[in-house]
Amino acid sequence: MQAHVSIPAREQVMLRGLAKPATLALVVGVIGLIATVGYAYSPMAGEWIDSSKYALAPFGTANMGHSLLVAILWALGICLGGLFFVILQHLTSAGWSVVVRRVGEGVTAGLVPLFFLVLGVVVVPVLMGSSYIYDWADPVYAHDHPLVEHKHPYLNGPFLLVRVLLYFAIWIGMARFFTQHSLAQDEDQDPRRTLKMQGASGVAMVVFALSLTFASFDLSLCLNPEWFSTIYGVYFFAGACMSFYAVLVLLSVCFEKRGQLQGVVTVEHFHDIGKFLFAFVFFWSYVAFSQFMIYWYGDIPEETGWFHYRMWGEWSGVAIALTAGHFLIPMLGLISRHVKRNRAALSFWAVYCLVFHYIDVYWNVMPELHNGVPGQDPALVGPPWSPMDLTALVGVAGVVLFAILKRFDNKPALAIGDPRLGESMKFENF
Amino acid sequence: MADSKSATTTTPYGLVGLYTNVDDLLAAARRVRDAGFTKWDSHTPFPVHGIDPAMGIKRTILPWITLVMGLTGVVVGIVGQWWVNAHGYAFQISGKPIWSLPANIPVAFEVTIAFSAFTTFFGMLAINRLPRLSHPLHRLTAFNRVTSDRFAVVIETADPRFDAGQVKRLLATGAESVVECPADPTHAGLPGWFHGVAAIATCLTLIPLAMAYRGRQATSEKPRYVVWTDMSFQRKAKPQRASELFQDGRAARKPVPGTIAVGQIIDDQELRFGVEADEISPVGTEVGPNGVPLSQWLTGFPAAITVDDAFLDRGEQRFDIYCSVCHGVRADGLGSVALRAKDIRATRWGWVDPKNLLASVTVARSNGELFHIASHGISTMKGYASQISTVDRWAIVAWVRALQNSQAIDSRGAPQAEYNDLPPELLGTVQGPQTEGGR
Repeated sequence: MQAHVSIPAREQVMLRGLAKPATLALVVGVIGLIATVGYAYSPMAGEWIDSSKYALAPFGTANMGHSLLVAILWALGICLGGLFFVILQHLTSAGWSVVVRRVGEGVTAGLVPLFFLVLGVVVVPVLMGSSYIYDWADPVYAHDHPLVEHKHPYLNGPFLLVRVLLYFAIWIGMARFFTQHSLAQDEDQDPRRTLKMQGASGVAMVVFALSLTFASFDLSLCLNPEWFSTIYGVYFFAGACMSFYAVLVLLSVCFEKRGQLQGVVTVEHFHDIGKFLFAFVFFWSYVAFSQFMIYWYGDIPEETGWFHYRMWGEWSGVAIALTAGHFLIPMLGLISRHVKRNRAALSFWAVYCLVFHYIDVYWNVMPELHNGVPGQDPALVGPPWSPMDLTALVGVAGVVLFAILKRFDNKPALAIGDPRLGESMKFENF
Repeated sequence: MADSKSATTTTPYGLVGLYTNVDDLLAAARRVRDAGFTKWDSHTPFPVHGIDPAMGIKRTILPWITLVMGLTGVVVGIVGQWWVNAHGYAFQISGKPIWSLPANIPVAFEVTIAFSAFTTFFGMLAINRLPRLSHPLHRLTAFNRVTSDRFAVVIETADPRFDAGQVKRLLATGAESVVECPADPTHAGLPGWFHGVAAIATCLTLIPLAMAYRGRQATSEKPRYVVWTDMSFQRKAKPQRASELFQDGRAARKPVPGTIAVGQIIDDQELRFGVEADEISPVGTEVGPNGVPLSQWLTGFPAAITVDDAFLDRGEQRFDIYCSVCHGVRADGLGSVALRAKDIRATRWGWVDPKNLLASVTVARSNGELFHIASHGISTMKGYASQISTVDRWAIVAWVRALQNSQAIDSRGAPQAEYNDLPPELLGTVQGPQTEGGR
């Protein structure tokens, strides 16, 4: 019963034939992005009621920018969750997770297209003086809001460029380090690589935490440049990890069905991934409520404003949906071990969590489309559902999926050179 | 008692099969399981994967008990706080709602965790029938190595299928040895005195509850009994108290000059100051008592305000709350404070009687000036700008005007037709023309 695991042959676990689905994802993704931009400049996109937004941007492009940002943050969370997962396994010298660690390594490949998307959607327009996403990028707005002007040394185009370059250099660099050592270990089975990665994982985790926190400030929190929340990075992290574990479930099930992880990934691994999914559902709720309650208790206008137009008026439905759908329902749904040990049930909840993570990001970003626009109030306008939300999601997800599938293609689906692979394969929960 | 004692001294506890590795243990466990024994157990130096199916152990129901108790914890946490805050001791504090869900979440969460954790811990002990102070296996020297490098399967003689020869054969395969474990002559349960102490301790825990119950039922002249003084009497600054820390001796700090709360800025000169929009006082013009040229007070209402029934109702309500205690509900200067001041002849100490707002001097003042007085005070009257919102102060001005107009009507000069139109319930309160000469 115990020691009878046979490490699968390399050829058995090779992921082949992913080039076609990758190309398909790329084509769909590019079509989605083109459709998003095309819709934004079409007359269908609508106009501001009072077109004197601080920005030069018409409504269509502003809506496009926010829709793209939602999709980017959603995908970025998944990829950063993958990077966190890989670092965490090395940091804790985890044995159980070796069979699925490669999946996490592969997901980090999405960071490369996301870098170009962030550059194109966020950084370059700010450098060109457009405030179609970020109000602070508009000098007139900043002048009217002394608190924003005060933040100018941090919130300015060139420094934003520097920071974004730094974040992605850190993330892509770390992802490459861990992935390439792992891939090289497939060939040479050198256990010193494991020790090397373990040695680097401590610093990597600290750098990861700081870069993720500041990136969440720069990309999402600063949509309302007068608001502040020190826990916001943790909040973003919690949602990101939850969505990554959901993707880990889906990709592992997929590779198991295709045969590469057949007999390698067992119900015990899914049980553990399910526990993490459950834990991060709860952790997100814990952090989200912590952020809310501090401000609710303090009841200071400059702090409660952010919540006010997200919770009252037309956005209240989304806020209630998040409370129920991002916390109560998945918590009760995932609490049972029978669900975590059932691939179909776990896959359902994985898809469910990805959907609600999207709604969470949407709830964070979209109210800012109308906030700060003269004559507009997010609480009165409500969620500006638009076809661009869907096309942007398809576009970003397609391009990111392309990069991830490309990375997996012609590679082993698990780290077959890892010295703890046997330990991982016979892993059991108590 | 005597029976069981004599039985245990004669019959051994059971047979112990000792194995040197996990695989032999698991194989033995499967054999015993398949043979249908019920009173038996495995003992290992560390948790062994797969022992549960090998022994045919069903999953414990403990998680379900924990779930039920956890959900009970949510309900207890929320209902308990609701009872204390909204029912048992419903105090209004700073106009906040007496009960609000967000404030209850952390405590409800903690109670849930406490209930779940205690249930899991004590439920585990109870289901395993722990703690046991003595066990026959602990008296068996051969069993000692089970804490380091041996694995044991023990079948009790109490098992209905127990047959010494068959059990020995069953355990022997792969075993290092099969030994007999003698019965334990000592009492395995908790000592008798422990139950007595536990019962007394349990009763003692009722004392605080009884005291709380008595406190709710009885009244007392004595000051309340404070258990933890540092909770009730903290060394902290409270509003309206002196402070040694600050130079001016105030505990409550004043806002920085010019501070305006978020959303409170009113960029409308008429509404905010009661002054004509485009007239900024030129230097040297005649200045009234409040520093604003007399001619520039707004005579009507600010353009931002619509005077309608709802606005007047609001004004009446605010006037009755803030103004009527001194000025009287009819604005005749005969509020309860004013009457009391007359009684005690408060003018001796510099008291200035509240004005009769129906008097011609007040009627002659412009709306802007009345608004200014309501905001910043006059004579010994204090300003109410910090307590009454800007729009509400205008509503009070409107209501004062309404009172002046209605009270100024000399009913004796009113036409008979209008008097007849009055609703019957008002007939007694208004002196009509026909009552002249006595009723």
